Amino acid sequence: MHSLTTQFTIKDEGSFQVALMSIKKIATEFGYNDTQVAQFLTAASELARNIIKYADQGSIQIRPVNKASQRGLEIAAIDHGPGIEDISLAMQENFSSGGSLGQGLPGAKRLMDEFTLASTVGQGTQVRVILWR
Amino acid sequence: MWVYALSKSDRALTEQKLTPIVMNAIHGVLVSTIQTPLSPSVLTRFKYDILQRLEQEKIAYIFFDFSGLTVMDIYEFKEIENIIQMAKMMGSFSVIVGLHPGVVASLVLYDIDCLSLNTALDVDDAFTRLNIKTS
Repeated sequence: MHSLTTQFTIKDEGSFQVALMSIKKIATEFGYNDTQVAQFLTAASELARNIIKYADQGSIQIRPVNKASQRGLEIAAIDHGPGIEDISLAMQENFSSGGSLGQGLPGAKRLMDEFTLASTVGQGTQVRVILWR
Repeated sequence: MWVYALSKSDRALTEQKLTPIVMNAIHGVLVSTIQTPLSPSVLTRFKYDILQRLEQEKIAYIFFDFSGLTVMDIYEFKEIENIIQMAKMMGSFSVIVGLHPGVVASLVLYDIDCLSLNTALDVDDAFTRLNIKTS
C-alpha cells in the first residue's frame, strides 16, 4: 500500500490522462474492487477536469486515510485559480460558471463517501473526497 | 456542408488528425470501438467522423463499443449522448455496448437518466437483440 502522498500536476489533457493511469494503479493496489476503482477514477477525472477548466493548472494528491476501523484513499484537488464565489450555488446540479454541464462537483460528491470543499475568491480551491474501502 | 458549422479550432483539428477510434461498417451497422481516453479533441474528431460516415453511407445502426473503457466521467458521457442525438437526427439507431460494470455503477450514482439509452452486453448481443443476421 502507498503510505505517502502521491502528487500529480494537472495542466493539460496529457498530464490529466497520465495522472489517471497512475491513480488507477494506486486505487487497484489499495484493494478497491473494480466498481470502487471506477468510482474513484471517475471522481478524480471530474476534479482534474475542473482544475483545467477553471484554474488552468493545479494538482491532484492521493493519500491513504483512516477513520476508526475504516480505511480509504483521499483525493485532494488543489488549485490557485479564481476560486468559487458561491459554494452552495456551485454544488447545485446543472449550475456552471464556465459554460460546462455543471455536474462535476455534485457528481464527485455523489460518487464518494466524504466530500469537503474550501475556496477563497482570488486564491484558489481545495476539494477533498474520500472513498472508504 | 455541415463542416463549416464547426469552429475554427475544430476544423483545424479535423484536418490534421485521424480518429483514434476504430469504425467498421458491417451488415449495415457502424461499429465504433472506443479504446482510447475520450479527450475533448478525440470527441470532436469522433463526432465529425461519425456524421461524415452517416452522410456518405447507408447506415441504419451505430454500435458504440465501450468495452475498452474502465472509466467515463459526466463530460464524456454527455458528449457521447450528444453524438447519439445527432446520429438519431441523421436517421440512425444507436446502441451502447460493452459498458464496464464500474462505469455503469458510476453513471447510476450520478443519477443520470440512462433508461432512454439502448444498451446491450456486447456487440454480439446487440446484433441478436436487433435481429440482424450476421451470416
